Amino acid sequence: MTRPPTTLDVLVRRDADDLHLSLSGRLDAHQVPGFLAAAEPLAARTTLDLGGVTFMDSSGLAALVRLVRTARAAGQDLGIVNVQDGVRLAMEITGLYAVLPIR
Amino acid sequence: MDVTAPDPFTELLDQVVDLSDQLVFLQRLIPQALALTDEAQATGLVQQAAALINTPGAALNVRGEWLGDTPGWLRGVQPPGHAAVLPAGAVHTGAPFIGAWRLTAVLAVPLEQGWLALWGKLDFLAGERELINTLAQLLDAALRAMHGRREAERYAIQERDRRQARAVWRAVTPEALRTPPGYHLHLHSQPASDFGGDFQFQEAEWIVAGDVSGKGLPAAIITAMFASAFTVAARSASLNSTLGEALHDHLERSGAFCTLAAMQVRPDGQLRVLNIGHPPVLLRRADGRLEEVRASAPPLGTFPLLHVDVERMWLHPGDALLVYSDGLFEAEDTAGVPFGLERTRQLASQVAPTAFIRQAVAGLRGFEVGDDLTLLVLQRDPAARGVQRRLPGDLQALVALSEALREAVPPDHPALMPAELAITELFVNAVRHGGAREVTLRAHTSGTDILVTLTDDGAPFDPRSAVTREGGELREHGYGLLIAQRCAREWHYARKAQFNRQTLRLRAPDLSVLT
Repeated sequence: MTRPPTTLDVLVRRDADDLHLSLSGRLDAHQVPGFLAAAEPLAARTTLDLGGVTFMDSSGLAALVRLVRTARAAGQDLGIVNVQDGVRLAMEITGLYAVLPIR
Repeated sequence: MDVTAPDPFTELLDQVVDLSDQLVFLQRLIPQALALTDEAQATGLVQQAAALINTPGAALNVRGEWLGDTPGWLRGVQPPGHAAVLPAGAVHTGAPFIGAWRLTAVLAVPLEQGWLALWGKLDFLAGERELINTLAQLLDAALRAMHGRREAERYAIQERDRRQARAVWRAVTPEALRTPPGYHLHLHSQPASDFGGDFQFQEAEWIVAGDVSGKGLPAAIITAMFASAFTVAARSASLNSTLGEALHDHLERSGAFCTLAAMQVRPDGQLRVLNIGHPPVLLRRADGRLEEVRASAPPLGTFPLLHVDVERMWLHPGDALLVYSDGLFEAEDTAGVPFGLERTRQLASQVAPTAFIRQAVAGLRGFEVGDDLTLLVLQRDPAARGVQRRLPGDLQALVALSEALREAVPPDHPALMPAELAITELFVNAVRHGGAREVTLRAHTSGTDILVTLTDDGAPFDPRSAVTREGGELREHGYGLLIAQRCAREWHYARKAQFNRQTLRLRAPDLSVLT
């Protein structure tokens, strides 16, 4: 049995107009400040790859919403990819799955 | 020869005849006296004796009561201290009794519990007085025997009533209860007499323990009545009102009242507990922490039963429910100091549930238990899979919370992810908004459900009341409790002393019904 991850790793690839954030681990209330510090400022095109995220709570969701709204306000593009089942569940429960820019 | 003067021989002969009559009388008297069944027969014997000594008046007084016809003047005469003849003229006998008024002596002879009086002659001869003294002694013995026989009969009737009452009692309040599967059940039932006011019985999934005021047959009857009313009430949708209607009027009319603690025990650890006027029921968690279910209504029979809280809780593996009667904490030591509720709580918290009864009984040594003593322990099998984890009120502990949940829940359980989501939200909420310094998670699974109890020491707050927002909007707050609500099949809140307690049944949400 594999132990569920206990932390969040954020891999950041940033060049001129592109920001690629690759997340793995838990995105919970405790990890959100670190995640936002790594993600901001956003680029003209930002991709959030959630492929390695096994767990996300409402604080994590709120952080995604914050980034989406910031990007929209600034006229930037932001997309979320590779949503796993556990995260999708949290999004569906809250009705966010339908309104987040999931690609 | 002077015919008016009786010759000595005739006189002697008369005396012998009289003596013979008296002997015959005494001979008949003895068996009659021994067979005496009521006071009227005793009066008859006294009157026969009076006839034998040729005096028309006789009366018998037993325990201050005159038996049969008694002239008014006799009622004013004081009972004698010893056998005596009150000479003619010494007693005013009032109106004439037969034809003309004439003086009469009164022969008064005391009994153990009364006296007898004979009158109607100028004097009583020595032989006559002897006879009446002998009669008095016989009457004493006869009345005593009669009284003894009556006592024995009354005792036999009481004995029979008592045996019947005990049979009724044991039929409704058995000495042993069935152990529900998945639990351990221990009962100590120690009535103060053959049958007490305490009772306990089972009806389907319900275990009921209570205390009826009063003792003996009336209490046994009320308990039997109660057990049958409860049987009906337990099957009805509105347990409270059915119970109240079925019992209140009976109890009020009979001037009795009744307290009870009832618990519905489900195989998965779910308990519904209600307390009507009974001492606080203690929920002892596996770690020794206590939560109380206090009475939410006064005893039945005192006021109409308007409302009773039915408290929902989970017994996680090792948790136990302790029910006890006032016989425990009202027991007093030689100085009159009661065992007390505080000592009861300490004992409950400090000793393992399996040892509670033994330790309580041992702790009562040196105390006088004046009342029935009933101790009941229901423990959820401590060997079953579950978890109990006390965590610091710090978001760093979210990982430990997740790991603790996984100790109770297999990784492929369908409710694992929803449960983790829900308890994470509630944990964060308790820490951030309630200022909780400590949060305790208790959990076990039941089929596709996960039963969770979350306890925190934060400010009193019922989070269910805060779920107002809808999902599907792009906002940055207010998703947490919505998640908890949508993952919770059941969600109960109670403030228990300085703790918020949330009792949740978590299940994978049906996403097709969500917008």
